[in-house]
Amino acid sequence: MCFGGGSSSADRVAQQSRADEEARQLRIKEGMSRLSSIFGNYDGKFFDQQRQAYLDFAVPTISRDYRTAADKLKATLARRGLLSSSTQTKTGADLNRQFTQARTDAESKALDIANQSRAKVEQSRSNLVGELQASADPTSVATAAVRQAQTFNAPGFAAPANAFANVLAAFDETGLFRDRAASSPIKTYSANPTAGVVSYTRN
Amino acid sequence: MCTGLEIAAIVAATAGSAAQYSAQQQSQAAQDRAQMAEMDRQRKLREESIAQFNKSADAMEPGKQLPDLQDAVATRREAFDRSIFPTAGGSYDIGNTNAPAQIADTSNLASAQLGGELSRSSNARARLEGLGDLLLKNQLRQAKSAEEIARIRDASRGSGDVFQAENVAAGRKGQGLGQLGDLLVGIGGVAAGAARGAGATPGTSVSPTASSMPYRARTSIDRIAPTSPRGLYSSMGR
Repeated sequence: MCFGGGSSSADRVAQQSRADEEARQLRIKEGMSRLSSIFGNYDGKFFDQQRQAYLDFAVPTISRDYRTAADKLKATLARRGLLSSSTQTKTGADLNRQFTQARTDAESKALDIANQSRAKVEQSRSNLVGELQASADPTSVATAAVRQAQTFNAPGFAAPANAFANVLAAFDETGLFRDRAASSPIKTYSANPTAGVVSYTRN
Repeated sequence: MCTGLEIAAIVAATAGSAAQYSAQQQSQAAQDRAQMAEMDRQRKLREESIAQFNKSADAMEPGKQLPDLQDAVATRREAFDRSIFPTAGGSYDIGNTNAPAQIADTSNLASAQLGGELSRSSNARARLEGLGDLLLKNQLRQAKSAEEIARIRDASRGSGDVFQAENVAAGRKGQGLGQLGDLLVGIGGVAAGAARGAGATPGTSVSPTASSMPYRARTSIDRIAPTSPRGLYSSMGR
């Protein structure tokens, strides 16, 4: 029949367009689900491991610096005959205050590092969601997600500065108590919680 | 008196007009259906988007933010409490058992003051930084919600684009009937012309043409228009 050929053709185009659009939305939903699954590994436990990793790295350094500073302080006070004196009381209190301050700073920084990691992971996931909506290709986005996820496992930390230099400065006649951080090489830390590997390297 | 050809012209033109009208009705109904379906889809997406926004906004209510803030502050405080000397493992004893009583008293007092000072300072710091943690949490939650709303908006835009094609297709519904109507109107016009040529009385004949103009309207125009130059001149008194 020669009447109405254009109508059925337009119908087919419209039906195909609707089917394509529904398939596109479905692919986007599938991609979102895959992204959620991949990024689901980065939960509270992962970020707590990041926090603890920084503490494992920083606290021994602070404790070592503290003990060194305490030994030097005791030796200096003994040499000057100031043990059991009010000077010892004051400098000891200063040292302990600095120790607490350094430890609190480390705890605070550890939580900040966990927050930064969380924000980075979310940023990365959000970028991939944007890519997914533009491409509607869940497979390539999932591949990119796995590739990006590997970079989250290797953060770099700088060693905390020696917090006790100021306490010793009053007795520093020889320059022995100078801030170690100024001459100390930067230590880097890398952790891969998914593989359970924790390693430290000194450059 | 109408001839057979005139009757055929009238029937063809009437049937053609009816077919055109029916085709137009079909097309309009299809467009209305497509529009209603799209409106329904858009309404659902809009509701989904609003629900997502409300969910995000609800989380910002003070009643829900306060417990979150308390949790964030408690987490910081717990971490800082672990750092306060001597819990944190500091080993330097600022007191000395061999010290004179006055020095020992001063030392003990200094220790107590230090503990209190550090505890207060840690609490204040926990409150401050805990708020920062909560703000970050809110930011991430809102970003996720905005992401979901963007996905819904994308679906809405995609559906709107498809609707353009559906509307075009709906506009072509009844196209076959419309074409048939055009053909009948055309046949009617030809038949009327032939009837006029065969000697029909001027001024009383119908003269449908192959256009989509309604039949009644066309005959009215034809009555107003002069059928011959002679009639025009006579009406002007010449």
